Amino acid sequence: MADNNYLDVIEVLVRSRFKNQIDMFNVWRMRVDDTSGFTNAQVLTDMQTWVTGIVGQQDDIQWNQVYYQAALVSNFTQNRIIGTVNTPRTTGLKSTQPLPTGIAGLITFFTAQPGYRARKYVGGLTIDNSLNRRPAAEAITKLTNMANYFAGRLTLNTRHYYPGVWSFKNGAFYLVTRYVVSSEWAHQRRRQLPLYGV
Amino acid sequence: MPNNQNDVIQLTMRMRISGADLMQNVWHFRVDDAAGLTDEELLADMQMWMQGVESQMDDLQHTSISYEVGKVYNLTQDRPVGPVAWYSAGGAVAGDPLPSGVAALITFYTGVKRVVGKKFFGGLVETALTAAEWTSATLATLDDIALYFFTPTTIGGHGYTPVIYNRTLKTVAPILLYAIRSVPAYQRRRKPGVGA
Repeated sequence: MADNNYLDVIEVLVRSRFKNQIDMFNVWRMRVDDTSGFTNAQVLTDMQTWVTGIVGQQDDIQWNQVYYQAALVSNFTQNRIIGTVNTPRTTGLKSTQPLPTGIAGLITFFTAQPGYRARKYVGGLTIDNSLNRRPAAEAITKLTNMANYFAGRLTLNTRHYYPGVWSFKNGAFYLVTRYVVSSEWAHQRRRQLPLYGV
Repeated sequence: MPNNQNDVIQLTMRMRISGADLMQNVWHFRVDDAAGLTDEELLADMQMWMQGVESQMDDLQHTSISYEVGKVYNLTQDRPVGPVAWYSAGGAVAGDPLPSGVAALITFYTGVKRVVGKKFFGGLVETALTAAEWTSATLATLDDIALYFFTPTTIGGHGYTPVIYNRTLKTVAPILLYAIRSVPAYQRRRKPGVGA
């Protein structure tokens, strides 16, 4: 019997830490889209593949002092943790100076339900990702590549998942229908640790 | 009409980013001279003071920041005194500008709870940052600006006390201390071509 049933919502918490001090994370949810359901081991294998794809895009534009943490995989429907998966790298790859901590690229995922959408902020980017106050071409490309990992029915190791947005208000899961990568910088307020800055 | 002792004067320094987004800093002073001063004297003094700030600010700001006008208002008498011109056209620093909302922040504190003055300085450039914090040179310039506003001063032979104005209570409080954040602040701005 499968541990994770058809239409169960799987949650992946992709975590990183700016300067190893300030937590940044994105929460992604996708439903099990094969009627057979999946075992926990299969889900972890698939999410390892998926996280490798997502982080493999964002590490190209993130600062080398953005430290990736293990991603946490949960069955949101069953309210239980499945396990963790490692990211393909331990840090971002850019060695140039970082943009201010709150500055982030923004991908907005829309659903067919008006008003229900998901926003993914990607912080820790560097100054060469910014040109004349806006995200430069490379940043837009990588953010778009990230978005494509969360658009449409996903095939991961022959198994299928469907990305979506969970509405806590309605207790419902709405499938992602399209996305927009913002050509303007977004800002995500970050709490700072006591020893960070003054 | 004269500007009397203890009148509160508001100076609004207006700038634009790339000729589009408006940025401004608002400063308040209390007139200290018992004899008061004329509008012409006040305008000359404010222009002189603005030049002092401007000579520091333009060392921080990108060339796409244009200086527009300074507006002087007598809050006590609730009347405009007049505009004053900036001395230079705009920022003097070349390079790539930071995202438009990123700003340096000086916070002026008073002895009154929750009466603080926050001055955001936008339009800075990428080289002003190191490891996501302002460089020491940038902090030094911000400190010069803060000090310029911090203490009672004589401008054009007239005495002024810099104050923080509480719009709710319509009272002023003198400044007791200030802090400059090494971490960039963010001032939400409308995106170019979006909204009004």
